[in-house]
Amino acid sequence: MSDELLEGYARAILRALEDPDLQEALHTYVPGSEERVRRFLESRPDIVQLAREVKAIKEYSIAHMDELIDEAMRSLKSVNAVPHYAADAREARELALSLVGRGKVVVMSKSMTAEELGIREALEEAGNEVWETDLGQLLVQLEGGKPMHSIAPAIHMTVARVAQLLRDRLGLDVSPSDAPQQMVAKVREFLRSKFVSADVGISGGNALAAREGALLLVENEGNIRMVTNLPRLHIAFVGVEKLVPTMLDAFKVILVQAAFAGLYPPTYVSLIAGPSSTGDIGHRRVYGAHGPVEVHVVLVDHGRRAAAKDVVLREQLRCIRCGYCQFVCPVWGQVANNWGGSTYGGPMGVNWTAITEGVDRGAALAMLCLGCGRCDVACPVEIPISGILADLKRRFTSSL
Amino acid sequence: MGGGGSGRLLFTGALYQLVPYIEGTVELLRSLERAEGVSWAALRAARVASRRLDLSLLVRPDPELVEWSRRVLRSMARLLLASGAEFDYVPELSDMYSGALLRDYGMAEAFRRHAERVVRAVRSAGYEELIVVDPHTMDTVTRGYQEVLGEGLRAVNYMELVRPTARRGLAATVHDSCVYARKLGIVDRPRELLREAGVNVTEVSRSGRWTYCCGGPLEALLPSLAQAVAATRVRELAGAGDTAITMCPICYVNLRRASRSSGVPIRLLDLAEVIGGE
Repeated sequence: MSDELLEGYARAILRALEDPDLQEALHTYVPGSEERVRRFLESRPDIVQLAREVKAIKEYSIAHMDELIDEAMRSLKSVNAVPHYAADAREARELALSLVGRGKVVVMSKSMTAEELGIREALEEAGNEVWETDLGQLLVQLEGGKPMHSIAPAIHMTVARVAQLLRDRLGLDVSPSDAPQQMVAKVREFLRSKFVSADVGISGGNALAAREGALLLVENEGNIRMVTNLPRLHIAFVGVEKLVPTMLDAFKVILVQAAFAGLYPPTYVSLIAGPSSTGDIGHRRVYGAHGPVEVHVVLVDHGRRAAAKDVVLREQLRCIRCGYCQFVCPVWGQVANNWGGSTYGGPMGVNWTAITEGVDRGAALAMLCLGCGRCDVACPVEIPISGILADLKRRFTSSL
Repeated sequence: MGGGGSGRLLFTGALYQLVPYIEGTVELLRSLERAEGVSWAALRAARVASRRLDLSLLVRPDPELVEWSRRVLRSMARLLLASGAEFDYVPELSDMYSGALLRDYGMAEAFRRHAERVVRAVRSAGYEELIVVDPHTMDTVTRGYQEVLGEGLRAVNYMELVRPTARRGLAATVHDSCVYARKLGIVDRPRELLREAGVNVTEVSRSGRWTYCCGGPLEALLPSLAQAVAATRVRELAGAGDTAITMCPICYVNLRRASRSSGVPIRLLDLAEVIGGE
């Protein structure tokens, strides 16, 4: 079985190496991104120091995961959000279906966790109209593929490919010679109509403060604010590794995440602690003002708690998904997340595949790691990414 | 050089000598990689590649590379002698393979057995310290053996012991080895040696701790991917100048092949060739 898995993954890589659009996109964009982040970090030792604090925060959080889950469940209730717990992807999808129902319009902000759980596909199958609203993720949805990077999901697409998708799949009047600004304006118009008619907004979460029950989301496009504010119902899917003790800790996490993703300062940060409310009429608190009337937060395990007990894989749970390790990885730089499982790819993504899809899949993918260690140098929270990959290689070969 | 009781053994780990065979093997694997109806047997190939004797039955070594590896090793030995370093060279010990590839491919048990064999041979011959000449051997006999045996061999890199014997009017960029730069922290020393030898060192943006991989570790498993990584690096190095200096035989052979196949010309020299004057 392992040999077959490895063969399948290797063949996907060989196909990606022969895809001219992918090669053009990666070789044009990636080296500059790597250097831009490196130069920024060299100029900001305070951010590098903050990253060390985040490492300690995440280490504590992973070691106290079960306590933080209990605390978050209580604090979410205390802010009138509705907490849920999903042990696996199936439970998460069932929750989504029970909360959303059928025949609804759903807008989603980009969430690797929701992608991992198959939330969009499950809702579509149940007869809902579902739209990704992050531009890159919308393109991935239109293409029917998978995100190629945790922050830049459509990095594999050329401008011509983007124009083709927008024209063919959304009927937008765009051409490859249009400036990106013109394309963005047309997508904005399209998505506006979905935002205002949406019944449900679905998001992920960059960090969740267990003490306050506050969810933090960071972005540049402004779509997350729309997704989490306009519909009457907001559902957030949050991996349990995103839990940290306090709101201040959560802020530190998102600032470091944004910086190492090359997006500093982030344009928008959303803090959501329960549904919107007002007390302006008769001094009585009423839920559902301009924002959602209901906020549901689904804490998702799907392999994470087991990984927390694995002496090697647990270190990957510190990951804040900045994607910097992907930008610096020579293999990712050639084939993007085609070196990866069904959702996650690249150095951290192979380890996440082991956590969420099973060690056998992650271990087969790990065999295609160069072991060069650039990912280790890049990681803001000092995860020994290549060491985890090396351990997965050992598990692969010992299974033969 | 042999058996003089210096307590310090020159240990090549056979990696420079292995390189001409790797070149031929990779060409063999590349044809297998894409062949229709051929069972994809990369791991078996990797096992083969880790056993020099079997390998020699399969492929013919490139004579140009054979000469290159001999030339580099001669330069290293001469540099050590010129620096007054005391060491022994005992062929059956000095050229034992370190097991680096077994470790790279996660073959933990085979690597542990091999490590035991090397350590036993070195210790029973009375050697306390090795002089190593390439990054993979250095990392393997120290950290690698430590991981599986609880105790690594003591090793010093030849670069720490030598001074240049040649003066060069040369402008060149440095291709750091990933293992030297990131795992062993060896970044400054090769540059010091090159400057002492009169080399005008220019830097590519991805150098030192941020050096870019030559693709080598995947050459036995997925040669096309290794080649794509190497081609990216060759383009980058060629952008910084027409000469690049390597310090690992795996880097040398991969970048050399990538330069030829991608049509991006670059002159590659091993550090020892440059500072040793050969």
